Amino acid sequence: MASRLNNCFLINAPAGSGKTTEIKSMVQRYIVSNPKDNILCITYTNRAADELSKSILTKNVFIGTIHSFLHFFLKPYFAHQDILKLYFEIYGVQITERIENKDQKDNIAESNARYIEKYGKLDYDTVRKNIKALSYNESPFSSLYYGSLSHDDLISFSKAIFDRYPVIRKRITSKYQFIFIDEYQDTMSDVLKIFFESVIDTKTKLFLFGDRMQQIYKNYDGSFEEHFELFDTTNALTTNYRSTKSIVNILNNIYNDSAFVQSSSEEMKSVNVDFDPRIIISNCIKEEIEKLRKADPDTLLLYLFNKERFSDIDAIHLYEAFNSMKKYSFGKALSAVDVLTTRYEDNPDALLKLLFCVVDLSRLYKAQQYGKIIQILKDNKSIFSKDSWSIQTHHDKEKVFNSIKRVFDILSSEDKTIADLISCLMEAHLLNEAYWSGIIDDEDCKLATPVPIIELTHIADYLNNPRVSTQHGVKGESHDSVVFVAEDSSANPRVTMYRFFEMWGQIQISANSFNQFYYDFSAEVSSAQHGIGMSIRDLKRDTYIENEGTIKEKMRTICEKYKDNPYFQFIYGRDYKDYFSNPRVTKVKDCLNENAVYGILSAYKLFYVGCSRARRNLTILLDISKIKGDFELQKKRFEEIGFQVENSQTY
Amino acid sequence: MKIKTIQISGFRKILKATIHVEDDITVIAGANNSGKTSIVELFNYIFNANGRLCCDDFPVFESQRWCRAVFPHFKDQFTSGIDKEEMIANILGIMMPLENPESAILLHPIEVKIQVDYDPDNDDIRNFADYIMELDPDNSSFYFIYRFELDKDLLRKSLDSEYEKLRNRFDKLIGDADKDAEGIRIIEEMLILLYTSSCKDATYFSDKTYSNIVSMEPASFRALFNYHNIMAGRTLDDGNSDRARILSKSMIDIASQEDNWKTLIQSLPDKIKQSIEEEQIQQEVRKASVETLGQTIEQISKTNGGQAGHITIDMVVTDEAVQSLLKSITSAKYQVDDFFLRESSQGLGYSNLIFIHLQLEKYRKTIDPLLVNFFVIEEPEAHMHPQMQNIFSQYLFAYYSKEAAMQGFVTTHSHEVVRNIRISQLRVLRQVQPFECCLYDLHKFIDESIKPKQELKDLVEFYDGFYTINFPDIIFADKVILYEGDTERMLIKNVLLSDRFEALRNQYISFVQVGGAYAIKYKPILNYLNIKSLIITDLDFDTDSETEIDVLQSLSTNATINAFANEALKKPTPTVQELYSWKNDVKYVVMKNICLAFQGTNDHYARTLEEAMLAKQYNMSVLDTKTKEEWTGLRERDKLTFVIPQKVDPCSIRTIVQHTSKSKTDFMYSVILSKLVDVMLPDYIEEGLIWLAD
Repeated sequence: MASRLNNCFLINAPAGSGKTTEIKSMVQRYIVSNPKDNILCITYTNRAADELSKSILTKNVFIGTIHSFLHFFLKPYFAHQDILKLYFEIYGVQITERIENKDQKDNIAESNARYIEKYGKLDYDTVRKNIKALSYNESPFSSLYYGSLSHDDLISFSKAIFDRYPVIRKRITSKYQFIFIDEYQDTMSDVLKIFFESVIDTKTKLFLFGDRMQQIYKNYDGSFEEHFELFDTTNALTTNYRSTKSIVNILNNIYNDSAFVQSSSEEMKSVNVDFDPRIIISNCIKEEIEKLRKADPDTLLLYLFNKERFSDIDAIHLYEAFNSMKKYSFGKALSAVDVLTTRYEDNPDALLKLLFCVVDLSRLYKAQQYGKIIQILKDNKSIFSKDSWSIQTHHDKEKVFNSIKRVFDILSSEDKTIADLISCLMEAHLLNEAYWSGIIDDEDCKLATPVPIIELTHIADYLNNPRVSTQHGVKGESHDSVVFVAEDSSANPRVTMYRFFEMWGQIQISANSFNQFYYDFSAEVSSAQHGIGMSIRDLKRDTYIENEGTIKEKMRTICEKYKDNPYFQFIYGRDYKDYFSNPRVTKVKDCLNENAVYGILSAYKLFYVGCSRARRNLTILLDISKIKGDFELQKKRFEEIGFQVENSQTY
Repeated sequence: MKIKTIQISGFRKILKATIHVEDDITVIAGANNSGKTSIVELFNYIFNANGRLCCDDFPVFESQRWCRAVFPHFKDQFTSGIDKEEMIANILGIMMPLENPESAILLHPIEVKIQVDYDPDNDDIRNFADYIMELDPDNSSFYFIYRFELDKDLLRKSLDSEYEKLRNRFDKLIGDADKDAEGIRIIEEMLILLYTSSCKDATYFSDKTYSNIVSMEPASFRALFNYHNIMAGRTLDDGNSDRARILSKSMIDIASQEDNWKTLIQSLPDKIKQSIEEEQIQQEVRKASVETLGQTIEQISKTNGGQAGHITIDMVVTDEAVQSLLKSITSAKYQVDDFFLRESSQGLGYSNLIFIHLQLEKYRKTIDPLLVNFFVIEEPEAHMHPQMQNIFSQYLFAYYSKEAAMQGFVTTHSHEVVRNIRISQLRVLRQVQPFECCLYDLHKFIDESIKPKQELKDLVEFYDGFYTINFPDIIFADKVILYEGDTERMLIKNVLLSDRFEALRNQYISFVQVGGAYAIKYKPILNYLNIKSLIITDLDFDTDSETEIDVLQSLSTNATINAFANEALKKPTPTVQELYSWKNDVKYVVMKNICLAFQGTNDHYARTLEEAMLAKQYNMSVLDTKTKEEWTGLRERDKLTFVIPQKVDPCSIRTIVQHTSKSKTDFMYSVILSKLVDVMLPDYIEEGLIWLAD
């Protein structure tokens, strides 16, 4: 192993280890002893940034999401001639292709026509000439003709700037003596690389906080693994301040890694529990939930949010619309569930960000907190037009409130659709045009417009109910009593909870080795795809036969490489055996598909995070009809881990 | 972090100036009214937000140009009959058009560009990192721009508020150029005021070309500089009272910045409060004033519905109060033998010196390595006699050059201060036109004029050697006369008393005594400083030339004449004939700002001053002879002192002058006493002085 760096620290912070408190106090301690130093804190969400900012009041600390930081940091260069040159170097081809529009896409043709209307003509040189400065549009779509960068392009373009101009790296480390990055496990590799490459060989200290087990998004692609090896990991947070001893014990056993063992705090050791952590097996989950709720009305229910749940709360059309969008399809970083269950402040979907924000505004309207409405409109300048928040006269005010009221009327009517809401917003000139054109440029968004607007309210109401929590609301806040409802999800993101239990019954699982296997195996799949020059998913009979030699060879190597790997043997053992006895294209698709691991890995992580949210009473609810394989083995494992297993079948 | 350059443009008389800043101390030297104070005031404003720029800060000609350009537009608008709103929009459109920004009618902003360099290996640039705009990896500088520039919103507001006044003024114009002149002048003044009040501070950071610029808050800009202006000789005691006790107060200020000061005085407030309590002072005060006052208040408050509260006193002893107490009770005394003398006993100069030192020490304690630390001392020589100026400036430069983390500017008009620095530290300010000052950078002079040329290495040595002798004199002068010897000086000083040279008499003329062999070495510096200079020198041809032909064919040994001739005529060794005809052709032998005066054909083949004077007096060639008797008669008649040789008879003027060589000053005294100066003034000198006076 390469020797570790003395200025890069990876602080493993398992659930309940008081990570936020630790970051807060580290920053505060550091400021006191180094009042002239500058500190950078990168949080994952705007919400987390606001939370942290509350307790840290000094101008020497920058607290914000990676997007807000990169925007703040690089904005001064957005009109720099060299940076504009770099922009065209990177996006020039895309711009040219868009101008040509060879595939004759309607939305592109429309946007080209808009450009011509505005500037008289559209060609590369005109675009080049008209872009005087770049901007960040805080939305998921770049407007390349206008030099306006999306969330993702802001990151990748920033990476390009850092790579091309090392002086910018130097600027980071000259300015900041301390850099914290929270939730490193969900941070894009490009971001990790930007900071890592900047701090190397400098005096600036880089701290990554987070926990592999609490990874939820696919932002991080595994390409930073070697660098993690160089980090100093001796300062893990090893006390769990949240849960009772028996729950901490369970968490340690799930993690199953001696390097990350937590001890429970003194205070929690003396806390009484109503029952020991338990697994309840039931054949009627709904009834069981009712029963548990009756016993303890404060219980927090942890659900996996899936199609059925959306159906339950009367928001199935909205779910289906988003689930059918290409950008949230299988294998993409985000899923429909992700975007449908995220508050507007951090919602990565442009349309939902707008819609959820409007829903929030309507609540404030009902509560007559008008001042706050204007504040929110102002805070979201990228979404809302200047007309909406720049109020100078009484007349302005009346105008804005009348139009807002019309919007809210639509929101609460049964028969209106998202399209109606949008056109009302447009007619009232409440929307920022650039933001809006980003949305309509996106084919996917058309799918959502016919959905009844009332469904939006349903989701929002449901998510605001403090008694339930979704998989993405899973992190962070804890609850005295938690019921974790074990469920599978075949949609994106895939979660195969019962397959995970089956595997757990048969083999030992530990966080690090399982994660590592996932990254390694994914790399094998990409290398196989690279070898045949196409995606495995797109393989057809004929293309398979063409590439059979390469594929077979690759699969032999994989089989040989992982012949002693228990994860591989459990997940793929049978598939590979089947293939070699009868090589067919459908089998290849099972064998060279990392999603099988991903589904189990995410179930494993979800189970861990779900358990970690309970302070005193933890119940896991299993549906007997969904149990896979030999339950006796699984029961044994659960007991080993520290659960009581109860059977609560009703006949 | 060190300031490398400060480029000023469009500020008062300084139309354009680049100050290269030394790592230690940079001296800005100039005569009165050369712009030194302007620079300091600009620094005070830019770095300390001290004061506000106003209309007089734009260059006079620039204001005038703008007024002339903008006045017709205002006149058009105010006579067009359109309403106020529309007119304001029109004027904004004319002055700051959105479509063609080039056609805007604006004053050139007052602009200062500042380059700050850092040492990439040692400097901590955390506070500056955000202002990196130069992407070249090998660059280690920051670039800032300060501007006092027009702001559209402010302009709109000013137009709105000044509209009526302007309206009145325009209404009074009757269309007669003569009768309107005063009215127009007043409107123009109003317009300039309007413009200036619509300007605001703007600060930017940029790349090294100053073309990719990004706005920053003026406050953030100022936060990067730890700047202090050290006052010299302003607020000191005026001699007979110690009331101000500035020195004593400054001492307390310095002490209070020491680390252990806090622990020393920490317990004092409580102790003092305790003693106050013990003495029952508070009660006394209460009894004496509050109680009686209380009754009055009570009476009054009755009329008011009894709402007023009770009045009481409280004594709070803070650290600041203690410090102020210490300040008012501490006094510096000078101990001379067994006597203790008060601050005011030692004369202003001495107090001033100590005061400057104390302020510098106080400033030194505020040095922050994360900032650019620099101070200005304005004319430290105030109230000091030359010897003290000399000693003090030596001390100052030696002492503060050791403090690597700070930079200083010293403005001065003292020769003594200038004498004590390196030539490369010197920046010379000179007024070159009634409304224009120029800055001459001697570091650049050394770099550009001398260093690249290896063959001129001796010139560097020359400057080093002669620098302290007559250099300081040159830089403060309006004009320079370089002359051969004492007799020239006596003659010229006397000639300047006559009315026709009154203009010269009123200027500061520096006299530099230097022979023809070395005068040429002053040429580069005189050219660089662009000072109008006259070199009076001698033709110095071969002494053996006895006939006119001999003279015309002989060569000059004067290095300066030969160098000038080489440059102008491309002849390294010109004959006297060639020199004569050169002089006749051009009237004045002038190269750039320097006029070279030497004997010409009107001077009767003279090769020195005395020869030329005698030849002029007796209207004869230097080579022609008169008998001993004749000479004796003339000497008697004119009451002149010169030596007539015993053995040579007849003899020429040349022979006489040769024999008089040991008593040339006596000769000149006799000329002056006989009031023959004007008559005997040789043509070559007269011409030179006329050129110089012009």
